[in-house]
Amino acid sequence: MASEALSSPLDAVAAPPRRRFPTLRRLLRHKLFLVGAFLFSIVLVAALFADLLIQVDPNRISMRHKFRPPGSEWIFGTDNFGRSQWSRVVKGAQLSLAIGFGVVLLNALFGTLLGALAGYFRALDNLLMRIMDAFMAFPVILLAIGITAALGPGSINAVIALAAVYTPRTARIVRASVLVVREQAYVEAARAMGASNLRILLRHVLPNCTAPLIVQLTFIFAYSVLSEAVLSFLGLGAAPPTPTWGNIIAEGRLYIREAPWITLIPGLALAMTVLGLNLLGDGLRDVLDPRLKVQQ
Amino acid sequence: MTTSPAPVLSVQGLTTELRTERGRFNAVDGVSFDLWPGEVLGIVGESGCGKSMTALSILGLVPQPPGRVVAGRVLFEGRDLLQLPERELQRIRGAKIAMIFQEPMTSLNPVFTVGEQILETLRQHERLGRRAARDRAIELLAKVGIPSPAERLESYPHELSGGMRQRVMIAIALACNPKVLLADEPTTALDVTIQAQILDLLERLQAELGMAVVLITHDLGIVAEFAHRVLVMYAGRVIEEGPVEAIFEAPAHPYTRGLLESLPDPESDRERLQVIPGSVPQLGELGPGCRFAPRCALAGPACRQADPPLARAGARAVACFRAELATPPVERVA
Amino acid sequence: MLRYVAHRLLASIPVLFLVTLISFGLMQLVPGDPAILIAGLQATPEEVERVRRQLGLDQPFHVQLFSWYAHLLRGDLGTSLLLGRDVLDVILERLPVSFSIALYALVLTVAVGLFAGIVAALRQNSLVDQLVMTVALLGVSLPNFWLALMLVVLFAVQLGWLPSGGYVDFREDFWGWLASATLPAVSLAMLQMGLLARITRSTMLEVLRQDYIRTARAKGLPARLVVGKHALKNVMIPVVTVLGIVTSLLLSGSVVIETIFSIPGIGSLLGSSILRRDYPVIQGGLLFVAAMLLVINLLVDLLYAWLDPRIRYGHGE
Ligand SMILES: Nc1ncnc2c1ncn2[C@@H]1O[C@H](COP(=O)(O)OP(=O)(O)OP(=O)(O)O)[C@@H](O)[C@H]1O
Ligand SMILES: [Mg+2]
Repeated sequence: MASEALSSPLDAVAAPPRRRFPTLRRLLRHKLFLVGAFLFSIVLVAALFADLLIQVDPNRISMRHKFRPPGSEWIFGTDNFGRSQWSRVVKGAQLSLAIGFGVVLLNALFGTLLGALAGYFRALDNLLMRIMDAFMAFPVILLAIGITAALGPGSINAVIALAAVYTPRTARIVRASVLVVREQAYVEAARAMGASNLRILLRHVLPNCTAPLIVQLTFIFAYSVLSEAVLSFLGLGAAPPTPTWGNIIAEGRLYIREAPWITLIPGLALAMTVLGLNLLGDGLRDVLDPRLKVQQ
Repeated sequence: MTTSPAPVLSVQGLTTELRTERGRFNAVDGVSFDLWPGEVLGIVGESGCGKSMTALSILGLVPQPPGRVVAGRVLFEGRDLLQLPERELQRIRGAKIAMIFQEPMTSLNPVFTVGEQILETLRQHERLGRRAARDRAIELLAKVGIPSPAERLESYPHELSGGMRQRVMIAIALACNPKVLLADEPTTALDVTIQAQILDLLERLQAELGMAVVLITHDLGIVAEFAHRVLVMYAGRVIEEGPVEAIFEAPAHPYTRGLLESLPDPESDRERLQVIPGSVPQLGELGPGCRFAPRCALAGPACRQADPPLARAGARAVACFRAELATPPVERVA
Repeated sequence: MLRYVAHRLLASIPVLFLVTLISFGLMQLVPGDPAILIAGLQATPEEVERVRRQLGLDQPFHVQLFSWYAHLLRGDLGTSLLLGRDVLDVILERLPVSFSIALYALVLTVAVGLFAGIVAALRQNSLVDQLVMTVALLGVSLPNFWLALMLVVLFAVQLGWLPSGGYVDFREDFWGWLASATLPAVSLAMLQMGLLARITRSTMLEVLRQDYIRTARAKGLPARLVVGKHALKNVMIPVVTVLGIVTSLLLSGSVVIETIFSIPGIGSLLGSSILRRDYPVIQGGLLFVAAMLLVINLLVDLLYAWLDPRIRYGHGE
């Protein structure tokens, strides 16, 4: 048979040459992911280099300069106390991202732990999942409000509340992945060879949950930043002179007729952060875990 | 087979292009054939050779994107279906030309009852009262061999087996007494015993209703048993055409011959062997020559330079430069 | 179907129990002496003692838990510290207000979100699709309280078309209600509209690829029926399952939105109770909302089962 002819044009189509970092390559070709990365990195740079970017103390009051509109002298204008909006918004970025990051960290830790326990140990599953269901029965912000109201206002408490609220959602996702993975042949094999439960969990099961987990955590980051702004808008975040975006908007609200920029700018910063993270999440989902649908 | 002056359906130079991420190619490439009244025309070919695309193109059902019919004519009752506006086509689909599909498990809508799915076809094409339509639906289900048809009207597809679902699909297709039935691998997804039942059913109904059938399959055994004429397709093209007996007796194209040789021996239980090495070329990665040349044992230099045209001789046609060389008689005939 | 209903009802009982437990637990989170916090720093020791007794904080833990359930079973959610009134009464009094706004927002969400998602899917990759998806993405990304403020600036302050706050009872003046509820409902609905449009679009695209859609077309059905009947009913199934989430998000949003627009609903009640540490109201309000959501989710599940015969006849979970 014409074997030389067989291998030439057909095989080239069937097996495209393998490249390194295929996931990264696909992400870099995902346009909206890149837009998200761009938006988010602006905020990230502002947060990381806040102290270099700020010339004026965000809390320095200067009544002579109050209500200056954005312009060449004051980039983002000044507020009712003549404080630099630029300083306050940049400092706010730092706080927002720190809080978001804190929530994501706690959430990853406890979500993975609870999800893995529920998915791996049949006996715990029912109890844990009912508890998760109960937590999820409360609307997100309402439960966060309840917890922060009880613990008292403050950034740390907001982080705790938000982590508590989002953890059940992450735990569910991890559990679902674990349930799939634990039935797989190589896990069976590891068990047959006498590997301990903990070892199987750490070495085989969890690494296979990373894709949905990364996607989920990106969205959690977005919701946390958004929810923290809501909490501090309601007076449950860091106490007022602290420039969180929610605080700035809450104060600016009183002067919205004469100085709308006080409200406008932190809101835009917040929107940019959340939009960026949502786009990153969408991109990661498309590339890492295409089966996942749009989630809450 | 009745010899009638005019074909019911005449397909001429049908060409359907697919645009995919990796380029565009013609999934159906200049396919022509006539379908005569009362005839069963088999279309055979390996998976991916464009059989389904041909059928879908005829009815204007090519998924778009990625597909588009770019050339050809499909003459039916004096009109070119490819030129008809969508509204006019809708009057023909399901009424005069009906189609049944490869996948009985997924071809029925899971959220509507069997009855509703038959009745809506009747409502669409025929003026019938509620009672009359219902009676007709029951009659149809009985005709395709579904037990207790009146009760089955209320069933949902998930309550039926694959074979039963395909019977329902056939009932829907026959609802308006079509002139032409396009049966796209109606039994591929079914168990062997069910396959035989469904094919017998189709044969009986075809004789009863006198419609012309295009029977698409990749199983030559089915063609031998049920078709009058056969069309062999390869990579979007018709490469051989003729009466079933003649082609089984003396296949002219090396590909057809390969297909025939890969038929299971009725004496033994062995599975069908893959005699033709390689697979159908995908996408537009085709040279100037014959599309089968890369897999053909007889291919010579000429075969790699030009694509052989479909040459006609009487009732038969073949697209091969080396057609004469490929015709030692095959003893086994169905 | 009946078995399914019974099963769902039974399954929600332990969750409801845990929900009440969580609501109770919230009070236990209060650090230090809650009586002092609630009575205020200037309060005399007698006042603190009175608060402590009123809330039963002088009792041991298990007694507190027991009396919490004893009261719950009688429909008693406690007494507001500030208003001195029964919490359930206050909530029920404000329920129609919140309900009218939330329903308005829900109708907007479903009408606009569903429609936009379907149109975007039918014209995949067109300009309309891109526009809808961009707006939807902004909808899920813009903070709703900020959006509310911007809408106030634009439509109330600049254009003067709609009031910037306040609430008109719909039983007294429907058009006045509509005017007062529109900005709140729109800002409340933005997030869910975006979410629903995105889900509807991706579901629709998925459904349109299904074999049964091709069958429907092969039967000669017009596009109106292929999309409006065969595709839509299948799209509705997953879309209905997110209605629970959508309602939950609506209730979440109502705290800030009602506060911003000074609407005397449950959301603003909670909003104002937070800073004044009116714990019984927070606790009772949360419990009430969570219980309501459980009921809504139950209804959603029933709707889902009704739409999907595979579940209706007990083949699903
Ligand atoms: N939606 C689609 N998108 C891209 N390519 C497609 C699509 N549908 C079909 N094709 C390609 O078009 C060609 C012809 O497909 P077609 O379905 O007509 O084959 P077939 O002969 O019916 O095969 P089978 O026996 O598997 O049904 C194949 O190469 C296939 O990969
Ligand atoms: Mg096919």
